Amino acid sequence: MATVAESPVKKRLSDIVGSQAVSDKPDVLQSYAGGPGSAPRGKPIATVRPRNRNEVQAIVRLANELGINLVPASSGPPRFRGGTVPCEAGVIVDLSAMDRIVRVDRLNMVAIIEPGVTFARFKAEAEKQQLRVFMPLLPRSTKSALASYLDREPITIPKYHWDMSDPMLTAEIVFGEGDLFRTGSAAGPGSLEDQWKMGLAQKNPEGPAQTSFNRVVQGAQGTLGIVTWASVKLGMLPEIKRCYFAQDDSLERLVDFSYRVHRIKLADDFLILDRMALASALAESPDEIRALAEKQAPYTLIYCVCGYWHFPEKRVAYQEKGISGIAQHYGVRLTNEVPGAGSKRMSEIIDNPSSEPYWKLRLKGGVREVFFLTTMDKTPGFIKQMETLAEERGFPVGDIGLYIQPVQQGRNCHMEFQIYYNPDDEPETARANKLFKEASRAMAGSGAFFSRPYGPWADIAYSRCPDTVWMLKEIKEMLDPNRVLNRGKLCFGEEI
Amino acid sequence: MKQTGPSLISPPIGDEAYKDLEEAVGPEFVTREPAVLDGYAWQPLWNEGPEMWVHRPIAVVLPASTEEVQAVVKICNKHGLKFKAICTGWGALAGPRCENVVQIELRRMDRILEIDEKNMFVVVEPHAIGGQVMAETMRKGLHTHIVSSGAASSPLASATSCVGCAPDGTYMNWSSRNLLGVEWVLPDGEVIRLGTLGSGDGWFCGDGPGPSLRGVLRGRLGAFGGNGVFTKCALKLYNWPGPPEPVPEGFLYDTELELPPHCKAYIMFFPDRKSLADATQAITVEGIGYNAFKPGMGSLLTMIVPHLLHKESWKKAKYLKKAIQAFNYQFLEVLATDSAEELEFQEAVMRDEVSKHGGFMMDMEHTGMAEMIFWTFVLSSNYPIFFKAAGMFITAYGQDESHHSMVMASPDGEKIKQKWIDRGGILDDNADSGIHFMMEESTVSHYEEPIEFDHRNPDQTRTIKPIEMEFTHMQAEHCMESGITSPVMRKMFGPTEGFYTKWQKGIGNIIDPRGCADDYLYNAEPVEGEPLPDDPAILEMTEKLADIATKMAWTEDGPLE
Amino acid sequence: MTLSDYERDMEGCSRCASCKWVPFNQMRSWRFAKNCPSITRYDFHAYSGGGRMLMGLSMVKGRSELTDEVADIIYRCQLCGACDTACKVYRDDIDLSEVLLELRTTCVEQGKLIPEHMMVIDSLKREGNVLGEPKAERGAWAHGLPVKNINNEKADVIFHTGCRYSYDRELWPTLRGTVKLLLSAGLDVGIAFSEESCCGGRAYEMGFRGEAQNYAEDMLSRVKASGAKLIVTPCADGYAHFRYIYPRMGKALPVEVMHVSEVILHLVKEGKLSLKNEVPMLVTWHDPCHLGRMSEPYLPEWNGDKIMRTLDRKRAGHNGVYDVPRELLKFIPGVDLVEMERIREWSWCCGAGGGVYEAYPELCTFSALERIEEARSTGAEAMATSCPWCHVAFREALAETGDSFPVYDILDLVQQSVGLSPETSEEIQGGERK
Repeated sequence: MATVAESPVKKRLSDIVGSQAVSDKPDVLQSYAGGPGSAPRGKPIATVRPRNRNEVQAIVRLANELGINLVPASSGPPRFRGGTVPCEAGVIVDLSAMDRIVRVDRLNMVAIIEPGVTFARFKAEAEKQQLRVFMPLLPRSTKSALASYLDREPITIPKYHWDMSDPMLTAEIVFGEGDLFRTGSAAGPGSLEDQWKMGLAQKNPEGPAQTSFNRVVQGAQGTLGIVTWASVKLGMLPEIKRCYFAQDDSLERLVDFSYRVHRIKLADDFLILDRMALASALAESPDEIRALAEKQAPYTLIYCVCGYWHFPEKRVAYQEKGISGIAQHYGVRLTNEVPGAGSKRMSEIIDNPSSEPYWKLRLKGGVREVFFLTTMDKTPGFIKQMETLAEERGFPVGDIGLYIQPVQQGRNCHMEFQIYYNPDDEPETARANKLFKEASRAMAGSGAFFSRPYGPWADIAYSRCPDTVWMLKEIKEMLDPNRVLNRGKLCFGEEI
Repeated sequence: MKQTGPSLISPPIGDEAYKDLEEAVGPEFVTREPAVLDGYAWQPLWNEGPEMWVHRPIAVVLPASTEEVQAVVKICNKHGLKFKAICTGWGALAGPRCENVVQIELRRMDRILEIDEKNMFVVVEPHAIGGQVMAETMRKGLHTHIVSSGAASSPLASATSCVGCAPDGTYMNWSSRNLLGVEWVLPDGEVIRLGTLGSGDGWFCGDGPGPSLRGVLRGRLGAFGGNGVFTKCALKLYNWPGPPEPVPEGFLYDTELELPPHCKAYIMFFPDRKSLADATQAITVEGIGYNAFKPGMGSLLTMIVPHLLHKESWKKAKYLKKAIQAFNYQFLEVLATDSAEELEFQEAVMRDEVSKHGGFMMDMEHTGMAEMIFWTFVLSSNYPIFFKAAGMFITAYGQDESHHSMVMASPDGEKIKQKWIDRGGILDDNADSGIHFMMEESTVSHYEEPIEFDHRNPDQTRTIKPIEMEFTHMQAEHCMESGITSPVMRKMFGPTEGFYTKWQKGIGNIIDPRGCADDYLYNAEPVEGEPLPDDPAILEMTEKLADIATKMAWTEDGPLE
Repeated sequence: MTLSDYERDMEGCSRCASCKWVPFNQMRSWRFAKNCPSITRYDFHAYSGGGRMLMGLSMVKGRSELTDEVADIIYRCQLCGACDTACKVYRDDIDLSEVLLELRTTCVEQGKLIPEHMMVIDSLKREGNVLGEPKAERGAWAHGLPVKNINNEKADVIFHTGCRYSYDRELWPTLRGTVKLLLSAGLDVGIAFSEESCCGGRAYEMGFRGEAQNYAEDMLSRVKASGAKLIVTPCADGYAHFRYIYPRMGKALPVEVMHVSEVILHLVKEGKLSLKNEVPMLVTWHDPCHLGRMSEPYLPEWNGDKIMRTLDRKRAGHNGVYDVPRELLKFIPGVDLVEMERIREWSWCCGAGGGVYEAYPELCTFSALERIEEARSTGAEAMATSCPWCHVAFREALAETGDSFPVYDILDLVQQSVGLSPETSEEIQGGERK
């Protein structure tokens, strides 16, 4: 069998990006393998690291010419969900070298970032202008901000999550045959510079005209186009930020509290963790985590109240008073601290990417996540379902963490079970995998909506919506007729 | 093809097709009576140029269910007819724009199917109008975004098919962003359900699994019925801190009802446009305002003293006009908050920004207008007033981007308007009527230029097309996409916006393989060799538009840098 | 005026759809948001006020013809005026109700007549009433009452009974009781007995202007001859026609016209009638179109562009009789008023007007039942109104469906409170024999 080095592929790729930006070293290729969820059917044959959009276009055109499968990747390892693992042998298009923060616009509270920009860098840059980056909860330090937004990962501030597409606004996309496109108001007329001169800021995510391809590429796992930059919303960096907790045995009570707080847009960051997930976020070693978890109530609601650029004290005061009234109404007890963290520490933790090791790996070194969208009122039911399944399958319920993140201003939520396991323990790994699969399937049957269908979830999610599958396949055919983009992912494999 | 004048009348529908329609929905819910059909062909609002009629539909049907809509669409496919849905029918966008169109009037599908109070959404059918949805949701302490065509319009139509912004946007977003689950009858008669609905998981999310088909369903504008029929959808609701059943006295300017606790109406004035832009941006990003917008003084005049604007003395009232112009940098804030402290905070921020920028603000209660302003905005009962002064209006520009780009563009719009006012082509509203409001606490800001005219006066109607063309030119100069498009404009400006037409047409081909939807406003190609109108103003502008479109067209490598 | 004279009004329609709904400030529920029985029942745009204007426009522009189907749509309308009121919230330059009337006239002029209306017109010509009843029996209801006969006696007050009250025996106790109250309060009341004719308003609404003109002239001459200072009528239709259609035809009556409820309220306030008895009842009030928005007095035609019309020259329904019955109900001890959602200018029609009662009973019933459902939704025990046509529409709709819901004429409630027992049919018949 010819190696990549001998194949024309590497040469042709090198012609585009230079030989130093193409690799087929096994250790490099291995770093794109996902966790246990990836179950690769194909392997990376090379990686290519373009530095700009023109190179991306050239790579895509080459892929069309040679019939290569391209798998876009932006974040660094570790990878969990298998999004970058090829279903068929293919070339990883590693976009991490495209790491410019093209613009941070304080007036309009918007930035343009390339795929290689990590949250840590983005945050530092935005804060220079008193702006806040909307982040998911404790992203890993190597996580690409753009990839996170493209994947519709939930951010921790539901109040500013007006729509599922937030905080992403416009984007530049290279479609499957190498065509360039820009979405929303970035589409034109005019270049970015022309638009900036006129005071425009690539802020309108809708369009151009009667389509919104930014929505189409979001959640597509790189199957419909490669995004080379995106404009994203920023918030005001708070002048005051106070973090509070509500610990409770009853999730129902916290859910009721959550509904009311979101109805009147009172809190900024707002999320619920169970004792294991909270302890994993706060402590580093497994022993510390277990000890800390013991001290926590079953559920901890964490929320922050912020004051911004005008009368921050006044804002914080009315919000605190409002929330306090709601808590009283529902019998929820608010505190400034929980075992292991006070307000300040918690605020620091959720304002930053995860420290190492990545928080979900701290307890046992491995994690299988089951996450989906649902409404807050249904979350207690899913917890019962998971507990029952875990007990039936002999998996310790105590080794499962829970994270509930209200999204779309509290209209629904990202619900995430974290099944911790020791990857070096084969039987435990097998049990975790079994629970992962069974829970995923069972919960889908109970109304869990796998809106970001990685790996085996694709079958689960798409078997339930044949009409959506039909249309997605047609769209795929239009945007990527030669199927060069992340072949076999989502519903674009043969079996669906 | 687009026709004009009497030729807008298609040959009658065939008996076989008509019989099929009767069988699909029942004979009493189909008509081909010419005078009845003309009720759907008279569309003077947002029509093209001097034309007030659109194509007369060949039949109108009144389906009562999704299944009946599907049956009608399939009959159109079978007989090679076009179809177009109409809801409340506000404007030519809703009317047939080509020959052989069966108009699907959705009036019988008017239910509010569910109000999910906790998860803050409402599920509606097409003809549940904004006023009805508001009335029912307010009872539950919730409110819904109503597009600035007002309470008579269909929230579903706005969310799925047609632009959709309003002064309530700062708190309640704009229509396309409020869409959750959707049921959509495609132009081949098949149904697709988006998001959670498609998976049987309820209405709460319209995106996924994986890529979101909401981006296929619509963009900034919506397909204006060119991509099928939307039969149900869920829309986001927002907090309403006022009374569950507000019952004001009066209809409009005579509105009387006490303001609810912690609610206010303020007007702020600024010394210049830049101050207005800076201050209102700063205020809005803090999340202030339930309804908030910059009215044009001209627009206010058309509402309050409509007769004055028709008088010769007004034309000559140079100093009065200047005095009025001086108050143009104003911003209206309708505040509806949940506590005295929140209200105090909002007021403090406004006061601070007004003071920083050398402006002043007035509590509308001191003017005696607070109740009227508050309730007519909260209930969206005010918008049709734009018809009062002249009989008809159009709104030009119609864009949404950063607040400063919108506000600072308006002087160019005023120049265009003034030119046509001077020529006697439109109502003299002092030309300073640019309207701005923000959505999502300033994610985008809107600019719209109302132009009022008497559509019964040929001297005025003939000016509308050239005015629209001038505004389109201005949009291009300001790097803004062209607005509501005709085939000619799409063809001209598609290349300036990344050749979007190629992809949009691709979607059209997927969902409408037999070309059954009336897609004049969506994907239709211009008719080759169609003679240009002989109006010199239109000819001149056609040339100018072609010129700027050519200059700004993308190459394969993107826009010219 | 011809239909062409209303071309600007018809062209004025922006198709904003306001004409189909109660004014938006007053929209209080999904269920009772609509204002027009016709479009609510038939759904095609042509059945709305705006839609009918556009049919008219289409014909005036030569795009279509007046066919039987078009005429049928034109006639399936109560001319209740709700569309006009809703339109005029925003528009000064469209007189929607006038266009609807003009469409009727056009139908008649072009021979698009419907048999049911022809029967009414025949009845008018033959017997002077719209019910096909013998002219000679028009005054039978008053036999035995000490009222003057204005044909041979002078009276200060002409009591114009109207067709429905005159011939509908179920309404006679109400009617007779009312006249007794007026007499007891010292009013010098006279009636025309068999010489009284229909006011002609229904003919006008059906499009027969010539007939209407004849009846107006007849009424005018009778009034002039009587020397009366005041016309009082319990018929809301007649009241509206005297106030609006007569002057519009150039036949304004030279004396004041009052609805009987206005007179009763006046007498109560003057202390001439004492409402002393408890009438314990939670009642809702149905505003008859002809007592409410349609009774707004005629205003002289505006010459020139209506865009420039001043508000004092715009009939928008605000000057109908709305507060009088409500005030009167307040005077009745024990009566509690609970309002429906569609009231006053935006009241829902009972269904009987505009020739619909005669020609389209199904539409009339639909409209009446809708109103009864609205009345029930308030929790009221009964509905009160003050128009015999409304009363009959409700009565017959309830009978048709086998349903029951008490509907009172406000005059019945007044009589109960005064302590006047309604006469039995035997007593009335006894009176007749006298």
